[in-house]
Amino acid sequence: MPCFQVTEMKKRRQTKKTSRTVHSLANPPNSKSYKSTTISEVQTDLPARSLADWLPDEATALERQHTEAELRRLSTIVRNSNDAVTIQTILGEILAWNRGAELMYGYTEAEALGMNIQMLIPNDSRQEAVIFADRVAAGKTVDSFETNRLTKDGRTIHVWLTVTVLLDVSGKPEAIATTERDITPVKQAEETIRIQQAELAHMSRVHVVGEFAAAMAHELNQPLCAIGINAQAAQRMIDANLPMTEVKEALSDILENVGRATRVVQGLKDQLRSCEPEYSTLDINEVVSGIAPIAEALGRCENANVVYCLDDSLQPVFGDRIQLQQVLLNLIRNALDAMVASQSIRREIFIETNKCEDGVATVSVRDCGVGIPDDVAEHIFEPFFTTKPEGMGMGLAICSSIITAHRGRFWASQNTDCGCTFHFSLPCNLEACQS
Amino acid sequence: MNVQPTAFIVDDDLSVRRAIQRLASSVGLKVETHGSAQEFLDSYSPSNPGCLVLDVRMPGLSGLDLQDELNARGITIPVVFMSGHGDVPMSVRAMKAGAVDFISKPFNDQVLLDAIQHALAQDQKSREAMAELSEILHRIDHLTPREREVFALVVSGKLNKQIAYQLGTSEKTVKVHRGRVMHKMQADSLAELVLLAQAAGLCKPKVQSE
Repeated sequence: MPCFQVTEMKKRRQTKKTSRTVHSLANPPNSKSYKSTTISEVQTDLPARSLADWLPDEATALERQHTEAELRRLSTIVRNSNDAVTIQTILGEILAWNRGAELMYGYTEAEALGMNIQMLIPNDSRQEAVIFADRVAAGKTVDSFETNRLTKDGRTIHVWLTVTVLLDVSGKPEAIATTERDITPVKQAEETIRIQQAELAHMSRVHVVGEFAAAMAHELNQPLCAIGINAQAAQRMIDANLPMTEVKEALSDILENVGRATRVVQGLKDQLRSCEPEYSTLDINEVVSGIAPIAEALGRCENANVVYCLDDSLQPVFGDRIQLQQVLLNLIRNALDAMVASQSIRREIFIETNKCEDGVATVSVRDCGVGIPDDVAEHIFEPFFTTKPEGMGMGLAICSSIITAHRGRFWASQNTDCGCTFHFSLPCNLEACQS
Repeated sequence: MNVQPTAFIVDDDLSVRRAIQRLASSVGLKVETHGSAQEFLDSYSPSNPGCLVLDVRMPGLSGLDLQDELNARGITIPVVFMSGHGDVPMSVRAMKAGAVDFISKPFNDQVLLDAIQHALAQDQKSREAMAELSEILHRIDHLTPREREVFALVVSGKLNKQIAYQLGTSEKTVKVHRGRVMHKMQADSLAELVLLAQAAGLCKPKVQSE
């Protein structure tokens, strides 16, 4: 065994407690005392030998020198690594702690060596650690994974953890070597981008809802009007001693219209809701029908009909309901603009949900508008590209970023008769999405 | 006119339609509702007295489109517009095209009922005027060509002598024709005859009354 480095004397003394051997990786000794350390120690119960056996012959001495040089190199790599490198027993007692670990966690080697690795695991990652420990104990391999660790000063950091199981001579797991890379800055950058994307989407929603204000006022007016007239009619009926059944009908119509107004207000409130996306399992048809009150109000303003064709055999998707509805509203608004611009007599928007292939749901919004000219088609998803005088050019760019964040696909196609269709597809495979 | 007039309600919104029907029925009005302008056009017969309560914005044929179509067909049913938008250019256009009233949703029940009553009264008035006109035209139809010439010259203020000269006949003959015209037109005086001629659009009053 070339990496055998403990002096024979020492080894004899330590045969019963090698598993407790302290590996000094953070502050490696100078080359003289270096001999008393080991990186990967194989425990053996050596039989007693004669004194002469302890004196190395020349060949062994050369081999030893060679091995020592090799080990110094390896040790330097481990010692100077910015990644934390630690070794712990199966029970989590820390046996080795390099300088990267000192810098990352804030515990000196001396402090760490008396500790259990549990000290570094935040409460919400405990469960994960238990599963991980069970796998190791069962001798299963563990892939590198992302997790959280606690530092000495109480910060939670994100780490990328790689695990190597060290086996004893009988092949049983003896200790665990881990390498942790601090990916907190990467995670923070990702989080910043995510928040900015969400804020942008929110801003755009608020902007769009502002544009909808007139249509929404009208949409609320209808139920308010019905409520008012019904209430006044009911009063007149009571005054005229008309049958109570008719009064009750008026009252039930009032309630129905209160519900209708509430749905409009709720739809608007949803769109104006704070920017934090909430991902959950969604029925895509329910997402589509959720915006129906707003979509129909917009359509009514332009004398257009919104027609739905929903495939009810679709599997659920994973996403943020509001952001997906935002995409739909943007597409509906574009469709209306396109039909007004084309002055087409037929003003219909078809919203369709489909299963385009296994595990993928597609939503499409088709109009009878002007369509997309070829020279424009390649730019439509670019930010700040617009063909509308008062347009910001952010609508489709934001839709595109939302669908990309949902791991979906977003594209447009020209219709054979008139107008164009925008499509987006979302994966239905929930496990894939959630990861 | 014994037929009870009908308020025709045209609104694409079922709830609003039902509410207005309920309200109008509660005060004893006869109501007929339609969900679209086309549906109304398909079923409406101009001989039915009544008025039209019309939503401005509807998918397909809008309220204003329907008003234009009725005007083009020469149908003069009074129109009360309802709108949730109530923007000025739209109401100006509607009023110019002859709308009786333009009310904003949501509205007070009395506002709508008053507008309907007003429109129904206007319809009745115009139907009476139409009936009167057709009666006058009917009487004119019974005049001989010569009597019509005399009628036209009399109401334009000519003396018998002048008429006789213009028609190349005697003053006595003109007197006979004039008597027949007065009789057939059921006019007791020259003033009455002039009014009938005005009503039939044969001559215009010199001073506008309005």
